[in-house]
Amino acid sequence: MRRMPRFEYHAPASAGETASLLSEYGDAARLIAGGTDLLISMKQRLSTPEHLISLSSVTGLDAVDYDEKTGLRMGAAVTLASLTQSPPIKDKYPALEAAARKVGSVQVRNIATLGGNLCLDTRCWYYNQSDYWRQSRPPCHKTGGEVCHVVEGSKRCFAVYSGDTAPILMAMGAEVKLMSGGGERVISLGELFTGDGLRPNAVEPHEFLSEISVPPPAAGSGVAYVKLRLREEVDFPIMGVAARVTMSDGAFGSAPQGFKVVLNAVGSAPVEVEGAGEMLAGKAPEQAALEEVAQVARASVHPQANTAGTPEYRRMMVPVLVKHALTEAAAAASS
Amino acid sequence: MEEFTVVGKRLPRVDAVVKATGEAMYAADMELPGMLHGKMLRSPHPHARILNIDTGRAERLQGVKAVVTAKDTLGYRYGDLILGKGDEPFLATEKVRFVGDEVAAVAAVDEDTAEEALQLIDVEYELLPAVFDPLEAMEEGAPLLHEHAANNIACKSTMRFGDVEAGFRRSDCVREDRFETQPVCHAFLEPHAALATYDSTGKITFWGSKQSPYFTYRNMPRALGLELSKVRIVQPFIGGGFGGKNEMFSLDFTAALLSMKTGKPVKIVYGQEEVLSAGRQRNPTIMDIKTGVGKDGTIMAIKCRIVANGGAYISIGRMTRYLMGSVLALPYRVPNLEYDGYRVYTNNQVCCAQRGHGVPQVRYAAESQLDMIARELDIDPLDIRLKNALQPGDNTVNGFRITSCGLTECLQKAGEIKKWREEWGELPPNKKRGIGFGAYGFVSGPRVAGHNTAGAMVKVHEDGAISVLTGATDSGQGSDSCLSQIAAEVLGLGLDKVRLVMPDSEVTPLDPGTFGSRVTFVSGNAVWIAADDARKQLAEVGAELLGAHPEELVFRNEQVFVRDDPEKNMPFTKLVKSACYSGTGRTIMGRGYFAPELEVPNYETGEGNMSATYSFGAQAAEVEVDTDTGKITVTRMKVLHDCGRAINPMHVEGQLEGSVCGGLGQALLEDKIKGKDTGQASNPSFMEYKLPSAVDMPDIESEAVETIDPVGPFGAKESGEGVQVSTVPAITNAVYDALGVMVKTLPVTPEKILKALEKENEE
Repeated sequence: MRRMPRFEYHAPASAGETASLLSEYGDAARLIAGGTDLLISMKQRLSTPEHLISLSSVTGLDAVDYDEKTGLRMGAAVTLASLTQSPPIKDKYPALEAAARKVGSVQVRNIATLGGNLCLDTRCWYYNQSDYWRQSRPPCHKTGGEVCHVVEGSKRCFAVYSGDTAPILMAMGAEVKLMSGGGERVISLGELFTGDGLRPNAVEPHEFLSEISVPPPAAGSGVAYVKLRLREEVDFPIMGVAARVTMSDGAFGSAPQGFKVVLNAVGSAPVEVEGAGEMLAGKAPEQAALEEVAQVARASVHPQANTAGTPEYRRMMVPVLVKHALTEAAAAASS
Repeated sequence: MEEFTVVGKRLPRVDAVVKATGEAMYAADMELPGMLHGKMLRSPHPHARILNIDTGRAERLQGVKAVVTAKDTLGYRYGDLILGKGDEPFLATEKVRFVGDEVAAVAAVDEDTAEEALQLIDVEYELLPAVFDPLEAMEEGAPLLHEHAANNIACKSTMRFGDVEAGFRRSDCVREDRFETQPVCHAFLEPHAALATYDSTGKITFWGSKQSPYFTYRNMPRALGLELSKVRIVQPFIGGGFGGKNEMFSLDFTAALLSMKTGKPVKIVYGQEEVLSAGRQRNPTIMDIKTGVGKDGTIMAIKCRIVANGGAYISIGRMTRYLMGSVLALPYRVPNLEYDGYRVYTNNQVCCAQRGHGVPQVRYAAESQLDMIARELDIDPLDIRLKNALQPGDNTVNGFRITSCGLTECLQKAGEIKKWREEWGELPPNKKRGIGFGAYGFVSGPRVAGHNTAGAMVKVHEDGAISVLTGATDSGQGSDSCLSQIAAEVLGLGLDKVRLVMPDSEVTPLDPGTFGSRVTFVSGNAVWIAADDARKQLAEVGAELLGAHPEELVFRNEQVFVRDDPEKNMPFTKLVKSACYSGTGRTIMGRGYFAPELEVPNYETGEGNMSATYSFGAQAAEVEVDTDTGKITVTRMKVLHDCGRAINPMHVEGQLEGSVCGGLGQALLEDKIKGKDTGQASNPSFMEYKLPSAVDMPDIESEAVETIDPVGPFGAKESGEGVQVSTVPAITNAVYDALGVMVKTLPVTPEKILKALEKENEE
């Protein structure tokens, strides 16, 4: 790992100023919030932007507001630590608080931001390395080459998305606002993720993620995120699962849209388990109902040998963690 | 009246304040006027012939002051200090043998320029086939790393004691198992750093992160063609060593060479990535072990074959290989013992000593197998250990003479944890708990080669404070505090009166340094003798002033008094002033040296008494296994350690907890993930190299069992390093207790647990 490359630093005070700097510098610029991932990638020469545009002075970008009708709105630059300390989040979205606590370490959470965690780059043994380390092999797809060191002969990149706040926010139906000089657009959080290991999110070079909104918690609903890792601090997930369920009279609610299961760190984007709602709606919240979803989830992902935890183990863990997450979400809904 | 006033007390460390404030200077913190920054160019290939190195473009870069390669050196090769037949050039000569091998170095006005210059050095390589697996490396036709080593065997040991076959015939249970261990890094938080300056008198002054500066003192003059005393090695504070900072490394040599070339001070600091991906590590091993036990639990024979993957160079491998075999005779009575040990060259990072030095691997295998045997024979794991435990006065088959030995007491106390089972209550269906034991014996200052002497001087200042001068390094383990407590006790002073002088080859006396758990035992004795010498010099003056014989004087609580007439007394400071200032004045300077009476053991046959005394201990671990995910949590540990006497019980506890951390990491978490085709570690950062974090640590109850060693200073012997040996098997045996399956490769990952359970269910 080398020393920091040279760059020019900009600290815009408003969203408008940020947008105009982005249109001015385009691809030569990167946004920086907490910098916990970007600065490492710069020292590893994975990224050498000429301009860094800081979001930390942009007014209002670290705000957290809650309204009973419209729900929760979080500025993209809110730190994970302040998110975990925010009264409305602790009160109304305890599973989000818990998921945010599972990111990195105390020191990382103190500076890392929610927007940064959602826009986390995909990771791989062969990618997240210094230029010195990488010179032992030809460049891979993600470093501008034409090979994949994980899946021989592959034309695509399998780097893994492993942000811990995305799955739970997806399960809760979050939306994100992307701003640019030309205005703003709001997309569902799921749409933010491209599934492409090379460019894992849909934020265009002239855009920046400014706000994350979450609907108010629905009556009878419960959410949970379970994260498997070797150490209970610091580590990225070996894999994770977020789940949302709706309970009604001790059974799962009858509306399929009250359910969502999202798998994390098994592909280049968080993976929503299709048909989970149909499989669960109206059932008794017992192992048999969970097992069906768990097995469908297992069949839907193909982890590769590119992060801690072998593909085989991560696949074995999909049904286990799906059941854990659903059980926890059901318990949260009932309480 | 208490026996001691300083020894045995829970006193804060002498370096606590400056380390807490950040004032303590480490090598990387140091700067000299006009200093240049050096960087190393490393090989990107696991095995290649160097055809040409063109440094022209790098030399022409503005700000670059020198570029050096092997052709600028005298060709000295380091490593293998036992035979003095080193195989590792400081800068690669004809070949590179692993990814990370040092090829060239630059010195420039700043780090950025030095980094840029590295990109401009053009090295032409001819790629050679590489081999990473030690068993493959031993096969006929495997790529050869070193011309002199057929089948890539760097060295081997053949130990034969007694008649193992007869032992197996007399056994009621004979088991053969293969255990394997992983590479583990030392994980010191301070990376290697070196600062060297060459002056016009032809002298090198060097500050480096060395846990044994003496090795550099002896090697550097040879490597640079200088007289011994033209090299001055000064030791700053050290941020952890664990065996990985003994040897003189490429950066130490290269900083000096670049300084000679440029006439400027040169500093080189490795990044953690360099340390983790190109630095030293613990030997991965493949261990085939066969143990025979009678139905009453008596061990009859052990036969063991170990292939240690040593990486590209031999380093201290001869010693590692000897230790792996010889510790089969510790801590139990083993009447028949056979061992074949191989250190094999492969195109991997080089292995060297690491806390426990070869012993943790072997005791993991032997102790785990012992539990499997105990289960087959239906004997309690604790009872089988008590049955075979070495006792004071025992001689082992290979010639270890056991003097003080508190193993039985340690085991008995460890056994108290059986009551933990009663606290478990009903567990959830996906949770299982278990308890496991491990025991060990360890050296206290072995004689590795050459001399093993330690010198010490105690200078008495005119205000009644003292300076203790030794060549022993506190690499973070607390030996500065321990040695200071010994000196303070002898002279009856408070610990605040001791100023400790860190090793400086121009000032401090001969001492090979910090390894083999020798500092408290060997250097501690030297300090004891030196302080006593100073006391005797002062007593002569005091006797005159107090009208008594020198031997009647007692030094205690900063007072000097006549033993049988305490009314005759004077403050220590007054005595010192009288000695220094009256008449012609005196220089009060105590002098001491000590080396235990030891032969160098025969590293091939294993015969000989390696250490003047041995420490012993036992550990108990409690684990909880999640059978859904396979994840293991170590919930509690109890650590019993016969350290002779705890000079400072608080520091002993710190050592024991550190060893639990290291052992827990090796047992469950740490591993070098190997990149395909290159042997290089894919996880060269503390993000992905899974050192246990604070939240992964169990509750630890630790206790020193004091046996008061007859030779150790105040009865003290090794403290801490040995404990790491039994942490791993205590944990693996606890998992075995919980699940009934033994995982025979380290680390015991969740995946291995689930697969073992799956296999168990199938059977």
